[in-house]
Amino acid sequence: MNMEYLPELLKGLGTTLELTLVSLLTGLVLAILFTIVLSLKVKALTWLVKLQILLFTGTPLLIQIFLIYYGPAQFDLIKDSVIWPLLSQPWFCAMLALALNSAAYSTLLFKGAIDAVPRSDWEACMALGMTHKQALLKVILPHAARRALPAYGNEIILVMKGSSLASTITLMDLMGYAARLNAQTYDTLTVFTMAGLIYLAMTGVLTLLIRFMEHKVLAFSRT
Amino acid sequence: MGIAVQSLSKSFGDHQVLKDISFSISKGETTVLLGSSGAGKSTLLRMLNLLESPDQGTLNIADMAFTFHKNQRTGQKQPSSAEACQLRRKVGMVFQQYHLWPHMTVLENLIEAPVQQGMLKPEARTKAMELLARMGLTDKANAWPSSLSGGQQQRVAIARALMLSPEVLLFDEPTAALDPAITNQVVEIINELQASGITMVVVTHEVDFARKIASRVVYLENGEIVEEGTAERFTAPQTKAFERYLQH
Repeated sequence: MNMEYLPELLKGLGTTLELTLVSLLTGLVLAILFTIVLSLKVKALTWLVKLQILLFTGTPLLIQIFLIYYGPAQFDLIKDSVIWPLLSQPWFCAMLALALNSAAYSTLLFKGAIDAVPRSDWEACMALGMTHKQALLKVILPHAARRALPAYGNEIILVMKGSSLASTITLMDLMGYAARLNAQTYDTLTVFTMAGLIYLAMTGVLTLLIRFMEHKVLAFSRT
Repeated sequence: MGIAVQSLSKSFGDHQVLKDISFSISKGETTVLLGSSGAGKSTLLRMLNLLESPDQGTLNIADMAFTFHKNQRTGQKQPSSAEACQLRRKVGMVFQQYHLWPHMTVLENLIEAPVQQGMLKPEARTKAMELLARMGLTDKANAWPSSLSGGQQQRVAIARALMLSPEVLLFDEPTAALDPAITNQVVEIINELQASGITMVVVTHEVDFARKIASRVVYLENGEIVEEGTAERFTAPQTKAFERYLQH
């Protein structure tokens, strides 16, 4: 294997990591808000959140990236607006698509975890004079979050791997450098094997980190 | 005044679980709601802190009054959730299955509700440690609920309810999941609480347990009160039905 490709590929690693981290955090914040909307049954907003979930879990991530990157440019109204400097950047568009996609899946996951919290947890809150909101925010969500962590760990890894699609809208992430190197050398097998191994290593590290966190926050269920 | 209940009734679908229930309990008494399963005693107990809402009737408890009407547009309002919260801070409840929050330690279980409701954390901790000491659980403050035995979990649940210094404490089948030796610990705790003047209502189907704690007894069958009176009714029942129930 030709090791001189490695430094070239690693130039894209920073972008991949940054894109993954920012998308995940944005997606997480959105998912928590969406979950609260669904759990408190805020009427008009519930409808919007359900639509968002339908659209972003029902279509391929690649199409979402394309539409967010190429779509707004078709409208002069958007091109003249203050958000255009953001929406014209491939990095921001890829981040937005990944965040919205992750938010949709995470919301389903969090809502499922909340619904799986036993009725007895709610009943104890009610019996101690908590309001519905206090119960949800202080007891039910923290319990559900712990239960949701193993599944959310998978979501983290999916977003990390999904970020490779950002290279299709000119972003030079790990995959972007791999594609360019391939076009320059035609050494397809070596270039993509090395890129794949780097992704594999990142997945390995993330898996270990998630295991470690699970070990801490799920300590209560091991006794 | 303790608790007064007038003409409470409740149906689930076509099945009427409580029919025109009226009784009153003076402050500081320990009243046992006795009866076989399906008699409606747990439903009745859950109405006392509005975990169930009656279809009809009035409820006076802890200096609050509620009137219930089903499917009627009357001037009187149903209790709002804010009123229900206010009531529940004065009327504590201990569940058959303890209902401790599994992801919090024993101490966290105790201080969560009072801290939310404005008690300062150090103060809540001190009070929690006092109650745990009273329950003989000082060394379990930082344990997870799942690491405790049933009897220990039940005592934590009682301590948690006492954190809010309730005027009334409700127990729903507190011994049904415990073995007989542990039941006696619950008896001791209830008797100790009675000495401190708290009003208690205890649902059970176990006659021996009822005898050991009751100052009053209400016997229910099929959603109706068959007999009620002081603890002397255990030795001198006035109805055939209650006499039969005491014998088995």
